[in-house]
Amino acid sequence: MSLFGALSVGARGLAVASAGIDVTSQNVTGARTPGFTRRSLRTQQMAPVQQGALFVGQGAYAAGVTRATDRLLGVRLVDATGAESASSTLSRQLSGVEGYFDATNTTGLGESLDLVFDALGSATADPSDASQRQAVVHAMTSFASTVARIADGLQDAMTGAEEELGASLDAVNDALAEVAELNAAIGHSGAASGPADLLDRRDQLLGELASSVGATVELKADGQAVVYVAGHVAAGLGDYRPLSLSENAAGEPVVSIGMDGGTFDITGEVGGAVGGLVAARSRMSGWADDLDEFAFTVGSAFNTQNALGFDASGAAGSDLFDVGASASGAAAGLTVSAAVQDDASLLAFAGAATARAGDGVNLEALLALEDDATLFADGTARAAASAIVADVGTAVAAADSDSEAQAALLSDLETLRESISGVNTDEEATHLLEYQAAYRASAKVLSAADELLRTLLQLGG
Amino acid sequence: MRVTQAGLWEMVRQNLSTNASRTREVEEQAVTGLLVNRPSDAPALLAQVDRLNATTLDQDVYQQNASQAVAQLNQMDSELGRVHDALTRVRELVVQASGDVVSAEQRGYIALEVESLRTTVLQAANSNFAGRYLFAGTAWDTAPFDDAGTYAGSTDEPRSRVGADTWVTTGLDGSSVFQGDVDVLGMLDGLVTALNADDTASVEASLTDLDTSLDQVMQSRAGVGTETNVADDATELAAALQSELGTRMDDLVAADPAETYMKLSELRQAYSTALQVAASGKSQNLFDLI
Repeated sequence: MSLFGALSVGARGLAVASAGIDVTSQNVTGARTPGFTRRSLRTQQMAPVQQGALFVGQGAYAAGVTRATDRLLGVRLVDATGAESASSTLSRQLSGVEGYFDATNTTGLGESLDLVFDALGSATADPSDASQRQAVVHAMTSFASTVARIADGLQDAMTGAEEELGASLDAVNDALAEVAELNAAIGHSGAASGPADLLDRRDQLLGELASSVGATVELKADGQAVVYVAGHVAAGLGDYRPLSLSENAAGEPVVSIGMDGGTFDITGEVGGAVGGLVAARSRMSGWADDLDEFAFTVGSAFNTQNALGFDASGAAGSDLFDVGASASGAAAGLTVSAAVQDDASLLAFAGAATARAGDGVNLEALLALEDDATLFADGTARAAASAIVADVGTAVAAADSDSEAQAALLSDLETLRESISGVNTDEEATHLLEYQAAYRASAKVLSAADELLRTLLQLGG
Repeated sequence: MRVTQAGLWEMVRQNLSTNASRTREVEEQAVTGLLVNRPSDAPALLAQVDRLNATTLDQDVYQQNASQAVAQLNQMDSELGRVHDALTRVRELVVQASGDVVSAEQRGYIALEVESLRTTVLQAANSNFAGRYLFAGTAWDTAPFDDAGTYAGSTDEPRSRVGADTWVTTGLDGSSVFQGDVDVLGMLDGLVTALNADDTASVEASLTDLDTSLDQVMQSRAGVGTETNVADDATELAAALQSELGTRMDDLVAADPAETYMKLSELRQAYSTALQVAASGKSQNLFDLI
C-alpha cells in the first residue's frame, strides 16, 4: 500500500466514525419521539486492491443505516392496537351512558316506576284524597321524565358517537393519503429499507390507522406498505380509497370505502375506534328501542286501565300518559298528559260512575299492573326495567373487562417493541465513546501518514 | 430483554395510572358505603338488588297504610263501644220501665233519656276520622245517617293495602252495622214512642230487638278487632321484612367499612411508594460521567 492509500483509508475511517456519531446523536435526540426506531450504522469493508501478490485493503465505509425492528412483532402490534382501540372506545362510549341507568338510588328506571306503584298503594288508604292523588301524578311525572331523560341521554350519546365517527373518518382519510404519499416517496428512494425518517413516520401513521379503523398492513419486498381496512385495500403506492359516512333508511350510520367509482359498505367489518363507535352506537340504539318498547307498553297499560275506571267527577277515565301511536320514539316523548298534570281528580280510581269518594276499585286494578307478568316477555314492568338495566350493566362490564385485557396485551407488545426498537441512552453513550475513539484513531493514522510523507519530501529536498 | 429509559418511565406511568384508578374505585366505595355504584359493578346482582329495592319501598307504604288503618279502626272500635254502652243503658232503662212500679210520668223521663241515648248512637254512627265518615262505606265524604236514621252511605267497604296480598277494611257499611237484623235507630224511635205512650207491652217487647242490636254491634266490633289485628300484624311484618331486606341488601351491595379502609390504606401506601420511585427515577446516566 502507498502512503496515499493510508491517507485515504484514514479519511474513510474518519467518515465512518463521523457517520456513527451522527447516527448516535439521532438516537439520543429521537429517544422521546413517538414512533422513533433506534438506528445503527451498518459498515462494510471496501473491496481490496491487488498489488502484485498482495491484496491491499481500502478501509471501511458507511453502507447504510439499519432500523431495529421486528416485522412480525410490528404486525401483531398493529392488530393489538386495532383491537385495543375498538374495545376501549366501546367501553368509553358505553360507560358514558351507564349513569343514566343508575340502579342504586331513586333516579333509576325501575325505582321511579316503583314510586308510582308506591304512590298508588298509599292512595288505597284514601282514594279521594287530593294530596294522595297529587302524589300519584307527581310520581308518574317523575317516572315519565326519568324515561325521557334516559332516552334523551341515549340519543345524545348516539349523536355524539356519529359526530365522532365523522371526525375519525376525516382523520383516517388524511392518514391514508399521507401513507400513499410516503409509499411513493419511499419507493422513489430506491432502497428497499427506505429512508429511516420516512419509514418511522409511515409506521406511526400505520399505528394510527390501526388504532382508528383496525387497519392491517402488508409490507412488500420493495418497502411499500399496503394498508387494508376491513379486508379491502385502502392505500397503496401513491393512491388511496377514502372512507365515507352515510346513513341507512333506519337512520343508522354506514361506513363505506370508495371502490370502482362507487362505495362498499364495511360497517360490520371495520375495526379500531371507528368499529368501537359503530358497535357502541348499535348497542345504544338497541337499548333505545328496548326503552321505547318499555315506555309504550307501560304507558299504554296505564292508559287502558285508567279508561276502565271513573274519575272523581264520575266521568270515564282518560289517558294518563301521552305515549304516541307506536313504540317508536315513545320513551323520549313520554309525558303525563297535560290534563292529568293540571287536575289529579282525573285519575280514574273509581270502579263505577257513581263516583263514591272511597271507591278504589279501579285504583286496585291500576295497582295490580305492578304484578302483571303478561306485560313483557321478561314478566312484569319492573322485571323489564331490571332487564334493560342489567343488559346495560353486563355490556359495560364486558366492554370494560375486554378493554382491560386488550390494553394489557397491547402494553406487553409495546414493552417488547420498546425493548427492540427503543433507545437506551447508556448504550448510545458507549457508542459515542466508541466512535469518538475510532475517530481519534483514524485521525492518528492520517497524522502518521502525513508525517511519513513529510519525511519523504524532506529526503527529496 | 433490553431495557430503555422510555420503557421504564412508561411502566411507572402505567402503574401510577392503574393505582390511581383502583384508589378512585375504593374511595367511591368508602364514600358511598356501597360495593355496587353503577350497573356494571355487578350486573348479575342487579335483578336481586332491584327486587330488594322495590320490596323495601313497598314496606314503607304498607307500614304507613297500616298505621293509618289502625288509627281509623281504633276510633271505629271506640265509637262502637260507645254505641254498645248506650244500648246497654237503654236495656237497663227498658227493664226498669217494664215493671208495674214505674208510673207513666217516670216512663216519660225514661223516654227522654232514651232519646238522648239515641242521639249518642246517631253521633257515633256519623262519627268521622279526620273528615272520613267511618260508617259510610266507600261514600265516606258525607255523613251516612240523617236525623230520621235513613242511610245514605255506600254498601261497599273501603280497604287499604297493608301487604303484598293483604288488605284491611278501613270503613264499615253503616247499614249493616246499624240496620242489619235490627234497625237500631228505628227501634229506639219506636221505644221512645212506646214509653211516651205508656205502652208497657211494646216497651217489654223491645227487649228482644235490643238484645239483637247489642249482638249486632258486638259482631261489628269483633270484625273491627280482627281487622286491627291484621293491620298490626302487617305493620310488624313490614317492619321485620324491612329490617331483613336491609340486611340482605347490605350483604349484597354494602362495602365492609373495615375492609374498605384497609384496602384504601394499602392502595394509598402503594401509590405513595410508586410516587417515590418515580421521583427517584432520575438515576445516573453514562452521559453524566463522560
